[in-house]
Amino acid sequence: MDGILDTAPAAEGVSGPCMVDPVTKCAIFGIAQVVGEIRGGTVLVHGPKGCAFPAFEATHLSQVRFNYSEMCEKTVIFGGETLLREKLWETYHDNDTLLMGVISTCSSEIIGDDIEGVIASAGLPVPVLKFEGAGFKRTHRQAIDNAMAVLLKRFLRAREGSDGSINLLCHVGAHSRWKDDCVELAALLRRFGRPVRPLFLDNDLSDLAAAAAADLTVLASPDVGDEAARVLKRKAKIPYIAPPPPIGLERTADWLMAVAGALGDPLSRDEVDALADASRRRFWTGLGRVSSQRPFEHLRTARIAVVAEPAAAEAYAHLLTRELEGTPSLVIFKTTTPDDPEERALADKLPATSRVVVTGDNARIEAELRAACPDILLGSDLDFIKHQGAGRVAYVGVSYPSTRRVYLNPRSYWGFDGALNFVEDLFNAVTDAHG
Amino acid sequence: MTPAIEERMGLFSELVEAVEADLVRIREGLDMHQFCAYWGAHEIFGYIDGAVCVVHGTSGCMSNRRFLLPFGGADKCHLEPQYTTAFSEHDVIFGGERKLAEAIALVQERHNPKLIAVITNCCADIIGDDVGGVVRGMEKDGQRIVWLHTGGFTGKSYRKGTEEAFNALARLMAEAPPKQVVPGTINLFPRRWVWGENQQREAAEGIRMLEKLGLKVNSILRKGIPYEEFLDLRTAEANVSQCFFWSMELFEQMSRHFGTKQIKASNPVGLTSSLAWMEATARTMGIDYDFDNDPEVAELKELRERVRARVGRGRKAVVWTQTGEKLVGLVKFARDLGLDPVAVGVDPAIVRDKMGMFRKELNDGFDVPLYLSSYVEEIKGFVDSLDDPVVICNEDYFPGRVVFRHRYNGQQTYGLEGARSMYGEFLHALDNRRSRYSFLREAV
Repeated sequence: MDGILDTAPAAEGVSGPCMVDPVTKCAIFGIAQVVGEIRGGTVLVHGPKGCAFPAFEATHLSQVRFNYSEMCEKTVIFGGETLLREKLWETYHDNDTLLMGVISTCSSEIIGDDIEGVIASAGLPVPVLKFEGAGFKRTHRQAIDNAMAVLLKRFLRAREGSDGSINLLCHVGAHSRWKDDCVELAALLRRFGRPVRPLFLDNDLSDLAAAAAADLTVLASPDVGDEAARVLKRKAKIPYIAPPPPIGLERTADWLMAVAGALGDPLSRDEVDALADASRRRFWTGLGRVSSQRPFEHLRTARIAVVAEPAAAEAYAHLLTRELEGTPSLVIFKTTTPDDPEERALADKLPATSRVVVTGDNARIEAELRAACPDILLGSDLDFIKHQGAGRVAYVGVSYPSTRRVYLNPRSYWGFDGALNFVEDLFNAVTDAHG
Repeated sequence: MTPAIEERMGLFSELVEAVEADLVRIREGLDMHQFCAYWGAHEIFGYIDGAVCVVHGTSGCMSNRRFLLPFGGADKCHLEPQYTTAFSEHDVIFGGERKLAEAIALVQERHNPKLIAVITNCCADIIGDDVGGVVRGMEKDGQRIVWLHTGGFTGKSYRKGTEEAFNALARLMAEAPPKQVVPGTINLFPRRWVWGENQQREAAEGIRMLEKLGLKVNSILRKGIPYEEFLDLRTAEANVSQCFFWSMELFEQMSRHFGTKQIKASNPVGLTSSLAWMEATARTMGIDYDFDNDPEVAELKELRERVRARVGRGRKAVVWTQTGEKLVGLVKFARDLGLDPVAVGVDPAIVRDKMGMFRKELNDGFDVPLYLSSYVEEIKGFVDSLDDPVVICNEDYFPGRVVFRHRYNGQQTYGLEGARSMYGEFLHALDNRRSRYSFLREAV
């Protein structure tokens, strides 16, 4: 790994870097997104008004309803339990609630409010669960994992046998088109002739209960859902796999082979390669309509930067290098856990000529992009907007948020069809930016 | 009107007085403009080029600042470094003072800014980190460091954080070497929640109105104002704002320290309010301006008459917008057009938060009938109970009705040009009821 870690050793008695412009968001954001994927899911943020904002942001991609407990100085000193009880009922009545998540915040965690006690004494006629939302404990990504596990621990029923299904554990909130990806992955999984149950994508609570009947759990992305997958394994004895995300033709073929292997399905490499070839044929047929392939030629010499969470960044770099012959000159892993061995292993898989930066700091990302001055940028809208002044850049959004281009119909970049969508968008972005 | 609707009717003044007397059991609403105090303070320090703001606390709070990006919006503040000391559990237990000292040193090394502002969030405030003790003595030559407690748990709102930041900045102005006030000059404070081309338009119109009166604009408080220019706001004879209430704390402090005149007229929305804004400015600056002989004013009066004639007499307007300046501004705009406004969706929690502003408006003679509800279905029922009203709102839930949907941050609003633009849009709204198939109508 020719990587540059962003972590100068922390001074004694100091935890983590002393200052960052964070790439991650508050835990409340992650939890609200997960609860929002359960129909009738409502969250009550037990904290001050500012803490309602991450829940508000979650409404961008999910249907979550939210409220907050109006915590103020008085409640911090004397406790906010009475207020919380009232707010529980108010929130329940206002929102057609079928599931209530009470999210603690930094303030309520520090003062030690007995949220579970209040939930028990409130006696709401729907399930009410506490989620730890203190930002000093978890990032939004860690909170997504934890919230999924909390829900499964509560609602997964005892296994009474197999229905032959596959659980697809969705990568909630991983980027702005994660739902489209999961629809695409579910379609890929149906090739095995089994029922597929996407988990945490527009579920009823009964879906979580029924997940115990599956034969296999597949993580849509290896960096989201590990804790939940372990709950499924522990409580229902369901094995799980977390293959690299199916970004590009090769990785999609690999992904299908990994699933086939785990299911004991006789799918052969030749069969999945035939599917990849079908996509390549569509690519060439489609190109026949345009007079020039220069955008693809441009990739070979362009300065390309990829900025995303490690699993996605590595996968897009792989796609670019192996399938479009454009090796990124800069790959930035956005992470708060740069010492994670799995993330380091991903960095080792990147092309030797790529500069690899591992950081949780947007300021560092900005500096790296300014220095690299890419012609093509795969990243988030923030990366793009910040870099916009530095010169013309072809931008494709692959990290959260990427909403500068609106897709009203599902449009995944994952799987065989998704790879074509990605290639289309990349082609068009290069044409728009560079002629 | 049904008895159920009549039961919920009242006057705005009655609500304000009841809130003032603590007679209303107030539940905080979810008005998403009511951010935390740290947010309001961060926004103000973010105006100043040459200032770096560090939030002492968790990183989650800081990343909330960029919530607009996923919704397709971006302002200059989203692109500035948004530094936080990123509290972990370890810091909550053992304190984060050392981290803060290192963060300040890092800011000095990386940016060497003229001003460092340290603001806190809940964690640092609850555990009682001695922020003042940490920053004391860390200032370098030619640099100032200010700090504020802005944790949201205090109940302090965005507005309070804004005011505290302005207060801190006014102290810096007062401590700077004295400068002469230049007579006949004025600072313009445009509205804050406006960006892009519209921000430029609104600022340009503010300047044009002041220059029409023969005044020289000293400075415009804008995002990206250099630190020295901010300090030099004190060289102006007066301050005027398109939204007085967000800037009033700085106005007050500058009046106290430097005798800067305050023009308290606000919201130049529509011709009547725009002329009132200009007249108040002229009066304060001792200028005699003949508005009756201004051809532009005459032309706008003519245009307004066309709108009034088209509206008809005694027609109701239902005004549904954020509880605040915009509500007051649009109620006055409705009256400017001869409409009979009723405000809906008023949030008592925000009335409490903005009491100073509403009290001033009532003292100045403002009042409006209220229908007390914030629920879409109820407000639709209220609209249906009226005879062909005009609905003035942010979101259009009213198929088949005349709806004037106006957003301050995207459409020109202020001053004479704003009036011209709004009258034109209003005429269009009167003649073009939105199709039930319009994508731009809200989906419920």
